[in-house]
Amino acid sequence: MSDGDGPQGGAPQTGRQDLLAGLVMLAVVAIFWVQRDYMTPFGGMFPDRIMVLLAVASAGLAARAAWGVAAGKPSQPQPQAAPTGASDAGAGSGETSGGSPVASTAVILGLWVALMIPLGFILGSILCFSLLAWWLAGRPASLRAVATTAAVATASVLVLYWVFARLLAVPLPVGRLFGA
Amino acid sequence: MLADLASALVHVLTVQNLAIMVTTIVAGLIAGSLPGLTATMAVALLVPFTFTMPPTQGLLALGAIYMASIYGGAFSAILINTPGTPSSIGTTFDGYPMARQGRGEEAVVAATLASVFGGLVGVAALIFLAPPLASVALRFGPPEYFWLAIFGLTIVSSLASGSLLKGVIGALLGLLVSTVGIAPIGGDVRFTFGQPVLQGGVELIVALIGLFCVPEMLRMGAESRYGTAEAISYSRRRGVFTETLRKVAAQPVNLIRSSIIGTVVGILPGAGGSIANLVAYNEARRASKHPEKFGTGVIDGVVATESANNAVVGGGMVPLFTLGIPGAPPDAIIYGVLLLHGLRPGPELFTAQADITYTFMLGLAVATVLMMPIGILGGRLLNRVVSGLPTYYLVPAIGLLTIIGSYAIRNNFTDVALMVGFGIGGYLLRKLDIHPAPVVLGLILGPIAEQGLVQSWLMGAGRAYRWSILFTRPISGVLIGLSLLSLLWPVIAARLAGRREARWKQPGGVEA
Repeated sequence: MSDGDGPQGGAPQTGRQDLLAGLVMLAVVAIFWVQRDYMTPFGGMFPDRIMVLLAVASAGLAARAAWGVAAGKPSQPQPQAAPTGASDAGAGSGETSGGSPVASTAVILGLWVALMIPLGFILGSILCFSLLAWWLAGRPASLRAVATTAAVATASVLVLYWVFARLLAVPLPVGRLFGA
Repeated sequence: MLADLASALVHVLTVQNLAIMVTTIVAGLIAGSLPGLTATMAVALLVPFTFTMPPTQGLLALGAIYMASIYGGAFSAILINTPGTPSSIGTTFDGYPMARQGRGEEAVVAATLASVFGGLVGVAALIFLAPPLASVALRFGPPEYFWLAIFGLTIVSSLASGSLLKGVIGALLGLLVSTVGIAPIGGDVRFTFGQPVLQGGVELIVALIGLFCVPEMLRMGAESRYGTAEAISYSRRRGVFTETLRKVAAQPVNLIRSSIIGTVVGILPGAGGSIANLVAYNEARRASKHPEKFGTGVIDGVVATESANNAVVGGGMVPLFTLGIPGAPPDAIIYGVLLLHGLRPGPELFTAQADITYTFMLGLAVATVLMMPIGILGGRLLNRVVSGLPTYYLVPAIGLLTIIGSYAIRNNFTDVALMVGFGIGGYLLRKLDIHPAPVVLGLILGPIAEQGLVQSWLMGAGRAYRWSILFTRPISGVLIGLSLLSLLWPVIAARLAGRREARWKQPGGVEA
């Protein structure tokens, strides 16, 4: 499962990936660094050291990658079996990680979270569960397909609502639309 | 002691107590397998129900739900790559690949057997070794906790796939994110980006769900859309239990070593199952003849993590019963219940109140054994259900669980938004070949490392060089040695392997 995880396209792509990784991490350090605002000498004792180490490591990765790209060499050994084995298949290979479906799934997930505030847990979840399921299945926009998906969504959401809100007393959001 | 144990066994094995334990085991399995519901929450939710029970029954129920919820985390780790509890992070490394290869039932059975074994070892340590083990826990001070965290971080060499540097970067990123919120010493409010809710820091569960689950959802979603979906395959095979039992029984060293690691880590207050399972995984991989296979779906990985995390349950109660110091958050809740029933931790618990104490400890052992049939039947059913679900329903169902799970921790939308953020961030990190496991490791160990470092600095006041406190204590020395060994082990192992190969290839040598 993890044999095909290595990035496709050989050394330059690996080098560019590492260069990007190094630069992204340096940006993260910069973002955290400007947020430093300690009231006591203990506040920065640990995070400052971590940021310095992270900056050094990231700069090293970026520099190694930049040298490798310039020289046309791979900047690192090809990845071996990762502890998260199977789940890497989509992330690195490029075969099934097509941008559009991934982005669309991420957008629907974000919409799901955003809709919970105005619509509440039940309605927001039924809508987004149905939308995601219908879209992923590639179903036609027929009444039957929509109704089937909505029925499954409603059942799933209501069961989980009962378990969490009624049985475990977790107060799930009601929604501003319903006067919360 | 033997008389107390015999009397306790009679008390435990009543129909009523067994029925209560079976019920709470089922509840614990469900709670543990739902991402967002932790063992701590499961134990806390059960406490009010125990008020109306006699003390013995209440404690038996709490012990059973604790043990079962730790074990229950393995189900979601194996089936949907999301650790149900932080103690099952390591189980995703090999358990999920096994499920994807159609060996989900084997993974569940292996997790069950290992959990039972580890749980029994932890309880045995609690019953027979509590006082001497407690004195070891007392010797751990801030410098020791700091080096324990560093030792834990050296595991990153096992978790990083092809690039140790990227693994280190991931771990450092996790350490940095762990500093968000209020500093443990001094109370500085750090890196909240203007969001008051971040003063509470980033919840580990939120990060876990986001980093492990959401990228998997995005991947499955893409495959479903392309029509190449194959979330988890299921193939009905006879004799899986016997076959897996044989495989697990064939690795006694892994079982025993991992259980001891779990027990010892559990004894250290604040360390817990989230560290124990990763340390056990690392040691199993180091000791294996085929370390390169770890992460591809080897049963050894599942056995190591699950035996360690359940051994923590018994180990965590050693300092609780002897010193009144909870080893892990659920132990703190059990401590409260003990006090409620007039039971004070200390020598008295093993003498004047031996009846209740030994009944509780033996009850833990019985609950561990009862987990086996319940877990295997439940796990099989769950495996069939999850693998039978079409991916276009499985993905939104996982989304629903992740949203509820991250919301339920603090009843806060920010956690849900953070979860999605971690998820998308985790997906992008994987694109950059930075895996989530080192990041999660940093998140777990960051608070321990920071507290140890700062408190050590404070302890060093009066010394010519303050930081020397970190290097002058015997247990710290042992931990430094272990950390160096762990860090350099890949190099040492490669050199040893190279020498072995050179010896075989010499004239007169035996070809491998």
